[in-house]
Amino acid sequence: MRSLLAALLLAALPATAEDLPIFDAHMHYSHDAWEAVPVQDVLAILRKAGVRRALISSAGDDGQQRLYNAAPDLIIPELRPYRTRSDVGSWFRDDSVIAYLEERLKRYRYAAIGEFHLYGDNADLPVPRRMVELARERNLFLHAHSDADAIERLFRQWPQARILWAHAGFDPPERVAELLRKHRNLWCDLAFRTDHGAGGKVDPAWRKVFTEFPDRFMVGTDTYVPERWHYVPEHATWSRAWLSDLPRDLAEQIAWKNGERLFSSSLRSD
Amino acid sequence: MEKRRTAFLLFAALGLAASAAACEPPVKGARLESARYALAYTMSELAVSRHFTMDVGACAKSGALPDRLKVDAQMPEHRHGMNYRPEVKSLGGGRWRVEGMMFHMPGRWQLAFELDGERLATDMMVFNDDEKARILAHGPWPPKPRRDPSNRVSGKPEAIALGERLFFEPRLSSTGSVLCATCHAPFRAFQDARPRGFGLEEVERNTPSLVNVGLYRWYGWDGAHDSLWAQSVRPLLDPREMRATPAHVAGVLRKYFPSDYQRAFGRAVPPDDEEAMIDAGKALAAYQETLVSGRTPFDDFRDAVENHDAAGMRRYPMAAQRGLALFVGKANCTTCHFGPHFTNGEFADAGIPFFIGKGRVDAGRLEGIKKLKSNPYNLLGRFNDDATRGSAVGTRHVELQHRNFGEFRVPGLRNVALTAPYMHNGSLATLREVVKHYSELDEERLHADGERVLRRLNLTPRESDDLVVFLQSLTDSSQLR
Repeated sequence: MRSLLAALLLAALPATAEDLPIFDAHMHYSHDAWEAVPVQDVLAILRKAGVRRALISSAGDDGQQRLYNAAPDLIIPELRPYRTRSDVGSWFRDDSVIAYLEERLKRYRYAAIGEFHLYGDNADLPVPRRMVELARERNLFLHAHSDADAIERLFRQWPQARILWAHAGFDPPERVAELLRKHRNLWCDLAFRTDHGAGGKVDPAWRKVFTEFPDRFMVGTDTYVPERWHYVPEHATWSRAWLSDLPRDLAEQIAWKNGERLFSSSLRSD
Repeated sequence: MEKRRTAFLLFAALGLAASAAACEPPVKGARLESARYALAYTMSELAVSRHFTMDVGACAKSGALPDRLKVDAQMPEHRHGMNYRPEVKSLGGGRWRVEGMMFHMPGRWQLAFELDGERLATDMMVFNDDEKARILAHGPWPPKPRRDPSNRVSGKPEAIALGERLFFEPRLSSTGSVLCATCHAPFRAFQDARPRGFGLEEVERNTPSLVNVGLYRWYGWDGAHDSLWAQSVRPLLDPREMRATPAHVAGVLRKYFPSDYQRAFGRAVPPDDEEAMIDAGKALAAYQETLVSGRTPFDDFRDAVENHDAAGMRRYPMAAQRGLALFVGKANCTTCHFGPHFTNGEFADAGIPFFIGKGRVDAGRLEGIKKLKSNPYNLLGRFNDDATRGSAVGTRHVELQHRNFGEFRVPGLRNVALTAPYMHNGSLATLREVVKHYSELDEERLHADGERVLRRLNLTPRESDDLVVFLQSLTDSSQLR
């Protein structure tokens, strides 16, 4: 009984800034970053920031492979369907993307395909459909920077898909909750949004959603330009600040346990 | 068809080049000339897809008045004309009323008159209602003088005089060698023409012009200050710029400016050094608020659009009009460069790299907000003279967001042709390079969330030229003479 009480008390305690590792579910290390922020610098930044593991994709894909080779304990590679980031607005109509994905998937191991930008009925175009098939063949996560419509379409293509919804679509918490209720295999990263934890305080509407779905959220820095790697430590601090406004067990799940549970074994299982 | 167009343009050019003094048409308005005739016209309100009327008057430079007038218009780029045949009614004495005209599309129209077989033509840009509203929103100019409620000596002549003396006072720097005007040189539009400022040492950012500085909401490229007086104190204390201390600045006031201070503030220099230094900042601000640019060719055009003044509109070069059409249209510049000051006063990521050395970045607005919040001289503090604290609403509510990392202030564009080099780090040497930057924008540097304001413009060489000509037309006319 006493130990149960202690456990309950511990669960209700806020997480402190120092002891909360971070699983960063939204990072990029694209070609323009390789020189400005070399591999060893990236790893040093991640460790300094207390990032326990990071889900990283690159336009040009070689980036996260370099990182993964240097620190397989820290880096979880995902495959982005972009040769350069300028593919962002055209990849879903570009047949050559498929050959690129197939070639990379043969050569390397990944936990996910993404982050890709895909909206509305573009999700039903042949290239995204084939990408989903490739993910299904390898049981990979899909990491979608998408609106809710595209998320629904991806699930229609592959009802068992496991989708990490980037930035949770920049949708309001109520809408995010709606989709989470509907799809058990949907998870969210909170990258590049501030509304859930501005000023170190959790927004009440978001608090409800975090409480209802404690195992579905992850944080992410979104290092979309090289300079942003130098924002990683500050972002981690920012994340710990708002997470400390949640009960400890919930904060830990969002900070790192959800990511760890979902992704850390994905490469070992290959 | 091409030959006919070439002849038409050549004729128009010859017409424009002819003497204007030969005769006076019986209508006052936009004027065209040919070898034999001079013609003037006025238009009722011109709007896309709305019929309008014209009053036309013509006179002969020698010989008889012209008897017949024909009017037509076409869009050279689209290779079509109007959908309506206008009716020309003679009013006698070389005057006509033209009815049934309509420009059914925005863009460049060529308006052609034929007087007894002799053609006179002019180009004009026709703006749609949205573009017109955007153009009108860039004025009127100059703005009405306004006082800064946070500065009790704002607008006070004695404070302005003190501020001007302090602005040119090298003893304010600890070394006695740097003055405000070192970096903000009046003969360089109150900036320094260097990529990055250099007081006692080089800093990381470009020195912004102080012309129209009183119109900003936030000060500095990162908006770390919320008042002009607080911003004016910053370089005094920055070790790389003037390297002074509150005690040093207060000492200069007490030793060299006690009477000026007394006249400006109605009291002796206070014993509190910090308070005295802030007052120096307030006098400097009062002076800088007077640095307002004059009217520009664009302002004349903008007012002509507002007043349906065809003659006034015609005086604005066609290249500038085409550039303006891009600015408010396809290039979407007005989203950020909005209003009479050509800035929304906020911050944006314009796709400019912001590394400042190996492993170092200029975090821009992100650090600016943090500095602002912790600054004892911000508008929430004791030095704000606005008892209502209404002036502090922005400071109270501004929120730190992830996107602030690498954002810099959207600068006003008046006199922009005089303030090279450009961007927060002075990395673009000319206006042409700035236009090229946006034309060939590296979209990889922009986040893809939400509405993407910035897109690669892919301008043609002529469009780039036009945009530069438009930006040059934002130069104070007194500077152009």
